[in-house]
Amino acid sequence: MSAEETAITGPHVARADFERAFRSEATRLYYLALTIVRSPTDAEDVVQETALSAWRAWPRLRDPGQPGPWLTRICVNHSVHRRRGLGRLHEGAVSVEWLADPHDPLSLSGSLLDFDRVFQTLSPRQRAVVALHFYHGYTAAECATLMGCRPGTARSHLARALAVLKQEMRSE
Amino acid sequence: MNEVPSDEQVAETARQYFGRLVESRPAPPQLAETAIAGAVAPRRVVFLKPGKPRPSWVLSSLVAVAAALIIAVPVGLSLVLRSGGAAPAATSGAQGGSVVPNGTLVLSGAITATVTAGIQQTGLGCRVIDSTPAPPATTPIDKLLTGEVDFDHGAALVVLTFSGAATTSTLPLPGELKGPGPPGTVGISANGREWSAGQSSPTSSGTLTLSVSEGGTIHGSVDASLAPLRGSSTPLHIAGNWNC
Repeated sequence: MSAEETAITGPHVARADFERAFRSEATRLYYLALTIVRSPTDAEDVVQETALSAWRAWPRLRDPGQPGPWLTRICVNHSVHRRRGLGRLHEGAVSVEWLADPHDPLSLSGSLLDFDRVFQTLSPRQRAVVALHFYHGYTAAECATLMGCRPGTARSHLARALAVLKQEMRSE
Repeated sequence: MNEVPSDEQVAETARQYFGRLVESRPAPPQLAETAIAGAVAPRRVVFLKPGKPRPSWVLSSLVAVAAALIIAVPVGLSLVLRSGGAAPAATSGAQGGSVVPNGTLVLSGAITATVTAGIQQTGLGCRVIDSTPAPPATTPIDKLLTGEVDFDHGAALVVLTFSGAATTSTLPLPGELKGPGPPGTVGISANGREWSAGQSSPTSSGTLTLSVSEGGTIHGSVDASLAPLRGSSTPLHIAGNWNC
């Protein structure tokens, strides 16, 4: 292995630690990304980008024994930047069958359809804070930490997103 | 729904919505292994992996892609960013990050702060892209220096994105290339706000200087006024340098 390759890939011990840590978090990160970016393809890409960023910064991680919050923050950052940067159409943007109750495929709640439509119009950070707060259970302060912003900013994103959701869901 | 739903109703709808989403889109079985394999592979040829015509982590840096396209079109190059491509051009992406990214930026205008390169959280890293022209063209090899560097700013993150030739570029560049080499662009992203200087930001001004050492380390310095792109209406002035 050349010196350059060693610098990039790191020692084998670090690699084993990284693989173990990432393997235990990958599925959770996928679902986290999925709820922000909505598309499973994009969520997979986010997980891969998270792995890449994490591996490169792994030697400088202060507490390798507790990588969960750190990986979560990277994943949220990639999820937010991904939607913002590409703004591309996502699979499932037209199809809404997945919104139906799997035990009653004929049921398709109007409020879920409304939510889906409005959710896609929110800004990436608004989508992130909505998913993190309402589904993953993070407080506004925790959302701020994950998103790399001040708590007041996270609360502001949440309040604006909530206002838009309420307004748009009413107008139907 | 004709009445304004309560916060709790919206929250409940959100929980149902995300629950259905997660339930209907299970994680792929090989997710972790694929991601790990892509991350720890020596050099960054991972973004050239076959079967993914859209190399996502390259595409996520819009500035870098735009710059690459701007190089390719005027000089008749065909940048091949996938392995085994049949196009008669050659492109190699060399990892530039042989050093831990370091540097300092002084921000003023929309943000006033002095930030130092810290733990790289979201950056794509730095790399040198060599592109040779398709035969029978005789244009000299172009070298594109591109990358992202994360700077700490308290709890927030300031992300610098740059792209350009190993030279000093005056920003903004004209609408078309007047000489060999890629144009220079530099952007800042912080707290959801973005600023940019370069070809797509005609109101920007300043200089961007990039060079690369024998060991592959990219040295950059900038003194420019960046035009607001998103989330701000105030220009951002940045001055400083970095290595990555």
